Amino acid sequence: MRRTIRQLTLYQFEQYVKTNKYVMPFIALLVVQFGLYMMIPVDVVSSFIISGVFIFLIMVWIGVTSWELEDQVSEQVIILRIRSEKIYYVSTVVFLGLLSIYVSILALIFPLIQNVLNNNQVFIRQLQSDDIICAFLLISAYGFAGGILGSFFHPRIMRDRKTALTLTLLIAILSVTKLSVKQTLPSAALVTWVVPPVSEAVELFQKESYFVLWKVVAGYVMMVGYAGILAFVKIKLLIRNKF
Amino acid sequence: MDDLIRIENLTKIYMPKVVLNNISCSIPKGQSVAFVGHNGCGKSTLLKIIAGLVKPTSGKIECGKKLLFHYVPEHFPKMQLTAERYLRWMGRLDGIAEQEIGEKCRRLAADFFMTDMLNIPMKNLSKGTLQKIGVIQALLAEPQVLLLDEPLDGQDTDSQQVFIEKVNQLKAKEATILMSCHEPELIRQIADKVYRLENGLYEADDQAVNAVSI
Repeated sequence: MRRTIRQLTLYQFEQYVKTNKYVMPFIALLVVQFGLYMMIPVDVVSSFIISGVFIFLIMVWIGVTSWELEDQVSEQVIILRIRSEKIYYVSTVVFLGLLSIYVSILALIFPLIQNVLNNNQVFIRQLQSDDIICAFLLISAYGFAGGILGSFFHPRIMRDRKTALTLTLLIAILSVTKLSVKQTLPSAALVTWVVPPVSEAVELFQKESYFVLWKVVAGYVMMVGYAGILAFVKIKLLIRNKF
Repeated sequence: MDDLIRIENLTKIYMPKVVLNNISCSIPKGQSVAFVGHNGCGKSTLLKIIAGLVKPTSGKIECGKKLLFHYVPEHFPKMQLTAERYLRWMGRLDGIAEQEIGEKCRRLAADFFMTDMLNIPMKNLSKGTLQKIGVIQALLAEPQVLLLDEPLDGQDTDSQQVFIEKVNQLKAKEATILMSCHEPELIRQIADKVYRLENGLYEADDQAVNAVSI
């Protein structure tokens, strides 16, 4: 099973690279990174957390484009050949996980290179290896949740593509602005608990100058846990709906 | 012969159309069955329901065990990958050794007169060539059940003959063949049994097979 998932993930990765669907999100990532680290020095924790929020949004975009990555007929050919819908759909989740790791690495490389080029002046304090590890964990978790959210309204879960796109966009925006929305409109809490806990994971690190381990673990578990539940629901729906 | 697939009172409704109406039949292992009928009568849907890709509205499909289906779709999709890369991935998923995949791809491509098209992105290939790729991917490994949905569509005459030979070779190895088609020649050369879909499922005689292409 693990071998098949690995093969499928690599196959999807090759398909993705060949479609050039990565070009626009990659440009967006560069613009965001450039904007974030233009005015130096910046705070270590808050800059990485803001970067994580943008990675969440970029991965939502990538997740949305993954809807059309595989044609329905070739999906059917593969599912029959591996004798498991579940393995196929799990591989699509692993593929998004892998992409979020790559995007997170890119999001970290940019400020690190900047820091070296600017004689360690990019951040307001000396960057430590713990900062890089914690930032990587959090950013990849944000990215993974974004990717899964973006891919959730698959054409076989929601046929109306306009509604699917609008809903994805609304949920993504609400995830980021959840806390302010709740402050303005407390009754919104009845609905906002469903959307990804991006705001909650950001709030954990407000006023922190250093990454606190339990907060990093809590933020990571929140985002990956949410993505896991969403992926589970998506796979169940796809298996139930069939083609 | 033991029944490999048993279909009981199968109905499929795509609102408001009843596509398949209370169909029952049994397919023994190694049998080659052709489903014929007019366009839109539910032949492709029946194949997909048998393979478990489409949910029936009511009725039951029983398969002996988790069968390995290979599927030649009616229209093979255009992709960014080259034919060779695509076939390699399919071979890997079939569990074929890396070196063997290359040999098999080249041999099958030569058999289907498309050796020089292996390195062209599939998005740039003609409908007939794509159909051949659809056939080759299904023949890379030996399935227990081969589903053929209008498999000759767009293929040149020589390739059609090669295809018939390959399918008959599989048949000799006890693979079960289920096909939806319109070509009487294909039916005559491959099918052991022919069913006509028309407000139900009926066993067809030679006369009905001759009338298929009408």
